[in-house]
Amino acid sequence: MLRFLARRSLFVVVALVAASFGGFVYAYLARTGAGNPLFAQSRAADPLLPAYVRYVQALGAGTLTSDKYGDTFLSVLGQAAWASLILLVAALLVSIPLGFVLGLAGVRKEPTGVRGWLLALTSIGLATPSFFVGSLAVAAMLILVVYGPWDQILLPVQGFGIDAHLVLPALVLSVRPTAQIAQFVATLTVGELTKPYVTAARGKGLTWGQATRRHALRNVYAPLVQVIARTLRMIVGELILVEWLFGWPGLGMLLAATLIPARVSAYGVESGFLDPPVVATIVALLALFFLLMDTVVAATLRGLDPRQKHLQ
Amino acid sequence: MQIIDSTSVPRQANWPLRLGWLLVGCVLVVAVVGPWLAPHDPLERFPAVRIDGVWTGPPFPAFTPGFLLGTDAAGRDLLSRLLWGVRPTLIMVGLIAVMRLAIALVAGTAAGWTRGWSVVLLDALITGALLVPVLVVALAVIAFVGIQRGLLAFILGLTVTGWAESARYVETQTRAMHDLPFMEAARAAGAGEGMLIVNHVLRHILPQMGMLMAAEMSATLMVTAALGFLGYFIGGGVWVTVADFAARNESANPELGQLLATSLDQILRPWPMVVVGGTIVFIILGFNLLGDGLRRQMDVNQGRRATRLEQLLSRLAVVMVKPAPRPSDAVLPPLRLGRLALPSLALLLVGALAAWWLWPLQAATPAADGALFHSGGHPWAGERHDASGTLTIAASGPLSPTVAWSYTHTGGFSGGPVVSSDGVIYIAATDGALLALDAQGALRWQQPLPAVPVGAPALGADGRIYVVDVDRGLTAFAPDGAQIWHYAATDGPRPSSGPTVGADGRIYFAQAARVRAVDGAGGNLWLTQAGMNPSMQPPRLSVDGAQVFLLDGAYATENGAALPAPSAAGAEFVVPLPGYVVGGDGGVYFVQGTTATRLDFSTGAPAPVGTFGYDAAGMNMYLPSDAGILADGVFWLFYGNAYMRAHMIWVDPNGRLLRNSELAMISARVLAIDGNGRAFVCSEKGAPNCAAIEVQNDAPLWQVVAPGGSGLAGGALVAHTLYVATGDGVLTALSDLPTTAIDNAALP
Repeated sequence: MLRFLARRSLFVVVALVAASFGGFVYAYLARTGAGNPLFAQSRAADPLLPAYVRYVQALGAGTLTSDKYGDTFLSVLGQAAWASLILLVAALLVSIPLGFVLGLAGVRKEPTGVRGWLLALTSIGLATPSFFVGSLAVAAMLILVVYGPWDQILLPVQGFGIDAHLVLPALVLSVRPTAQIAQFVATLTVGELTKPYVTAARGKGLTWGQATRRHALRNVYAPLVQVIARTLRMIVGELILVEWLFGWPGLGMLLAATLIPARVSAYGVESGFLDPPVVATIVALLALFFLLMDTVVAATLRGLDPRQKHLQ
Repeated sequence: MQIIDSTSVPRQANWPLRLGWLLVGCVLVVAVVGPWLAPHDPLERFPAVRIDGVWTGPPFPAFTPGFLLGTDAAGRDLLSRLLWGVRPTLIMVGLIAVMRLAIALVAGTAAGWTRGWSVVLLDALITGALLVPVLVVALAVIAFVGIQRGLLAFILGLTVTGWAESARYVETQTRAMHDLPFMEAARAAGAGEGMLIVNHVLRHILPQMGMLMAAEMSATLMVTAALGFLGYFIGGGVWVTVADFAARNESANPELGQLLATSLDQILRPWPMVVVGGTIVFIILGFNLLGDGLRRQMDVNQGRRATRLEQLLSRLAVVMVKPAPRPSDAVLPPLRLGRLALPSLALLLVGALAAWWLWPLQAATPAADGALFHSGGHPWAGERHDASGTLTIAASGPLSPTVAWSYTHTGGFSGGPVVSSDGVIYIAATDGALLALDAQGALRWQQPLPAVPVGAPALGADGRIYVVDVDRGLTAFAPDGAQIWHYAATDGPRPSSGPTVGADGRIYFAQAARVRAVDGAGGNLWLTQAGMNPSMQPPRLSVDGAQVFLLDGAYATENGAALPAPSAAGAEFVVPLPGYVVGGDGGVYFVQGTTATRLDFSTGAPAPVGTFGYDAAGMNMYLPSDAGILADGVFWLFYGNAYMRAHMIWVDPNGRLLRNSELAMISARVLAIDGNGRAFVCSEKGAPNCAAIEVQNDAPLWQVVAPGGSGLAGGALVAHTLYVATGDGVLTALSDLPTTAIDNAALP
């Protein structure tokens, strides 16, 4: 285990440097290629490699600045990472238990299969973009205030806060992950229940519930961890949309604000657009998140499934 | 080894497959025949309908008579727009899905089959591509290549890593087959690697392409919808919250992403959003179910016959890869190009058809500033930048300027500077001199003028400098300062503005309320009759140069004949000012108070084709001192009079107030507008107090007081530098760049 972790950490460091350099090069080239004379001149005045070295030094010294946020950039970034983490954890806390319970409830024992209502629910859930659910929720909240019985909004639809502000974004963000987890829990459990060892357990006199809990589910946990990891990847993609919709000042919104010009148009660009230090730092942060997640998943799998050790 | 007893698992009806085929079938039918079924033109606007005796404005809700699904915020029938919009979206999504699958097939098979370094590399590539959400990659690619590229940006953005999911699937399938007994048998019989791949691996994988295709379609559509939500769609490029002028100005026919982007406009009347979003969910659901159904159908545990699609794909696989009759044939090159010719040709045909359908969507890109308005290729050719007086440059103005340099001429300046394509700044001095300065503020030469100049000089396309003087004179200078000719009029009032140079080389200037035209050799052409209002601004030309405007007067450039006033305009408003304006979209507008009427001059006389504006609720009593229409249709009104705080109002084409930015100054003038839509404003009294204001913010982006001088004479804007001239003779460069880096000739 220790050797595994040591090898992993080395890989993480190398991958982080690669990610931040990749992000920096991308933003530098994209920006100077965008046809803006200010940036074109900065390209000549400030070649790529020295600029990157300066960026790394500033990052190390904690004095990193950006065009748009100035010397408040690092604190903006810290707050954004914190806000995104809160939202992510909240969405996971909703979708994992809910998906698990839904998935188990959707398993039919005889004949073994997935119940129709779960299929319908998960199919629709997976086909619904989060921003659509979110827009509907926002519209419902506002319409209930304007035309409905309430004189103040039930749940806030804009801004950050670890209070009622968190409810709508977290719920909206967890719609698709819940559907995905429920679908996989049901399919995986059904797959296990058709195996001979379950028949043997039933023959031994166990009820379906006992056979499921004691035997089948133990074989479901390991693949389920992988499914959750995949779900996390999906959540991070959706994070941009949900944060954008709810004005949640997280990493997704920071990234979107960097990648999308202030006014999407045929016009020129503004100062914060594709700022290399911002892009490089966010990309590195996202990479760090995925790598940590991957490590945790790999470690958990080794704990849950003894076969994994022999595979490596 | 798992024991499968097919009799123990009863065959279940494959509902996902049936439902999926039903939904996808509906979508395909709409894609093919939709436009013929549409009850209305998808672009036709219905401004109002009467429901139960009450006139209502759009968006109309569903089941409004005549509009089954209601309309969008601009009053366009949603059902018709959806019926039109499914086809281009589906073709684009299909094109991307096919490209993704093609890459996935090659990369997946290679990664699953080969051994050694190549597999490590391919595996890392697939893992890396899977790691980053496709939406992030698509945003990054679109930012890189630019949304103006239209379809190309979308295809690149959605394909560059989008293939990885399918590639991983193909890789797993291939790897699982590598050492199966029948493969061993084929190897023992002498089959080569290529033979094995083509005859066994591909024949196994190709029938699964239907399933993968359905999955790719739904995944691509999901990301396309997300991009639409963020304001990106083909042929578009207009920010979501600024309403729907994309359809008006740029994109031709509707497309689902664009429909979604513009449906999020009015959150309190969410009907369009519900309908468009619901349609997208419907299509994604259909493809998801279809993919799921096909997967079930292929599941050996279910024990069943092959579907029609699989049979078709298997047959295709047989056609493409005919098995070798004898093992000894395996030594021949296994994959013959001839067998691939027919399918490749079909694929090419599909691609060409798709491109033909989609081309009009992305071909409509907005015209560049320099191409539309005549400025002779100069960064700043006259008092109001170009011959149409738009004040607008394509590049970005200064974002956080400092005073780079300042030049003093004790004689004072009569107007603002002009900047030629070789970077030289020309300015007319009130003591009778024309000055040429370089970009760093050093004097190049100074030439005497025959009389006191009026307004700013103007530049011809050939680099000549024209200066109007108070003795009704017009003088042409060569770029080296030599006088070329001098023209002196004998009739009419004294000139009140600097010159305007047309694309044909003619020069126009205002003599109070009349326009004088002079040809490029200094010969008199005509002088118009007296209009209603004398102008201190130079005349403005329409984009085709057929009309010349002076405030509320319009004249034919051919002979100077006055054109009739627009018939519907002017009925209610007493003072028709600011008058004629040439918009950033190239159209001519008649602006009076807070309304703008677009005019059509195709018959010679102005005919109104639509009015929009802003209900100022009591502010109509003040006339804007300047107004214009930006390239994206935003209508700006500037109030810079001495009796109120200066402010700028931005109104969208639907008459919605976007922003009212107030400045802490009175008596001010808009000097220029940059490519980001920012306005550069300076106070007219005392030392110029200059600010940049933008539609996104109440507060100015920056505010700088020029260090010296008094009384604004004029200004000029080039990329990252604003020049401000004062009546007492100080020319200041406010720039983002250090003095030595200022380059007036830098192209946007």
